[in-house]
Amino acid sequence: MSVAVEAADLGKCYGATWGLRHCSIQVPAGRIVALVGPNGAGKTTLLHLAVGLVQATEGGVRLFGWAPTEAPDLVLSRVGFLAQAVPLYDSFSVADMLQVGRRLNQRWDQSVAETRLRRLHIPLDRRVGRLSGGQRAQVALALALGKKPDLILLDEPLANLDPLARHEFLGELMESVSAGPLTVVLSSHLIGDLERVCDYMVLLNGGRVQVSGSLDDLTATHHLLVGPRAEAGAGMEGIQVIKRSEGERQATLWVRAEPRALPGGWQASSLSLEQMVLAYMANPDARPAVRPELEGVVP
Amino acid sequence: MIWLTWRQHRIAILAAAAIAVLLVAALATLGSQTARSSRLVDVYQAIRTQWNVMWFLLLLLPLVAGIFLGAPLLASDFECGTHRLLWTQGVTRMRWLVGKLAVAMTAILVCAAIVDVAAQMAIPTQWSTPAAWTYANQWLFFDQGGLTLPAYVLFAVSLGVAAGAVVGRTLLAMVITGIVYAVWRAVVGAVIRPNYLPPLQGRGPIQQAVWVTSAHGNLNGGPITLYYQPPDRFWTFQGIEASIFLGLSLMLLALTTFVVLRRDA
Repeated sequence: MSVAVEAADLGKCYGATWGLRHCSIQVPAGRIVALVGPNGAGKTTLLHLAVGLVQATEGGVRLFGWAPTEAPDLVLSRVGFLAQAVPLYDSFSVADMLQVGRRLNQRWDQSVAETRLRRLHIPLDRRVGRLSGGQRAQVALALALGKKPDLILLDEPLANLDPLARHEFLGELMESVSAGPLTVVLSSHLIGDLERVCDYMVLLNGGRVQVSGSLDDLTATHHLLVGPRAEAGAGMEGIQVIKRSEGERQATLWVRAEPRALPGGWQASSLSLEQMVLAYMANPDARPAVRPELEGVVP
Repeated sequence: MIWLTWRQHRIAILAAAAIAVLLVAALATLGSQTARSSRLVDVYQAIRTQWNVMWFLLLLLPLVAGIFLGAPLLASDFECGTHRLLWTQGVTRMRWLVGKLAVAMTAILVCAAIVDVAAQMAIPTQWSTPAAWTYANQWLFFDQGGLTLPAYVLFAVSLGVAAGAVVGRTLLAMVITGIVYAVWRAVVGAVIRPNYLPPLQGRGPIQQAVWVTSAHGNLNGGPITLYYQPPDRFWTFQGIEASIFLGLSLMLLALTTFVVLRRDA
């Protein structure tokens, strides 16, 4: 299994505050990664560090083994990046915008980009400033995919898109994933959309990685426990409580645990991705004591 | 980058070319009118207003280049976030910067050089007849001189580029460029330039096209001492001033490079 994105103790300090700190993640190649977290959690900082737009204060990040600041040519030719707020030249025509991609990249497939936009009925001679939000995002996506990347990083591409445009955007993205080996990192607040397309999650909170792992593993190890309040805490060794809410008699616990480690006497149900993410976001201090890959070692 | 810079800034570049063509045409007309005249003083007075306007336009030319081409060159990308788009294509920041500067500087300096040559051919500096010398003083056109004019243009554009790189916003960079350029030029003209070489002293009328930098004495009669720079120092002063502005331009471009390479996008 090759690694597409690897961060090791990555940190970025803006003046007196850390935008991201002690960030260590490994994203396997071929995954579609949801990058989630509240505003200011460090999602944009992490993506900017990955493509070399921002210099790390400590630690480092590598894409396919190459650091973006040391080997920008090697990294950037393989990586597509769609920045927040979809920056494009409003005064350019769509064709001019593709021309930018063709002239600034060594690898470029003009026909793929053009075919994609024609299929979406986006006129190539229209000025970018006159496109709808959805069309604009599609042009930016075509530009990022036109360089035939092995990895594409998207910073909140779905913000400000209506549900239909989001659906079409994700559809285009998924089609590219199925067409070739492509790793995707997609940051968004829209958990429902992410759940539909992603198979891996990195959750940032307060500049730290709170949880990361494949969605299958995460859903298999996160549970909602309901039981008598008096017994809360008893027989809970090896179980990490992310969030608790206690009524008069009953206690409700959002926990992370291997299914076999769940205590008796509690009614367990699985957590949806949204419930899981919300529980983590509301409790920034809750974080796994061990890396997910080492989970099996825990008694 | 050449194509992109052209596509992005073609309006400013075409405007610069159009202004250059218009100025060359106006200078040629004005110059031939002046040269054809048989009675120099009369004709010069008749077209004096036109020369005043031309003097002012040539004074403004570098400022306009700095504000409308220099300041937006980098700031427009920073402001719209499109630098994040470009820096994540297969282009390094250094190539982006060099490409942009090469296109913009080449375009504006070619325009400036053409206007400069036309101006030097047209400006009536060779009238040294006693009757005309008060009007045809080379020093009056020092700011429009052969070496200073291109140096000012280079400086103003570099100032605009550096301001845009530092503040990252087009309008603010334009304002900073305008103010800093105007103030610095005024300071140079009034305070620094008169002292490039120690002025000569003289009394009474001087039968030369000199630049009187100061006068001391009793205005109610009595001897007045004039401090002046003689005509043969004109090109030395041009060289000194052009060197100062060339050096400052290089420093501003070095600052720009530093800021661009270090900047967190």
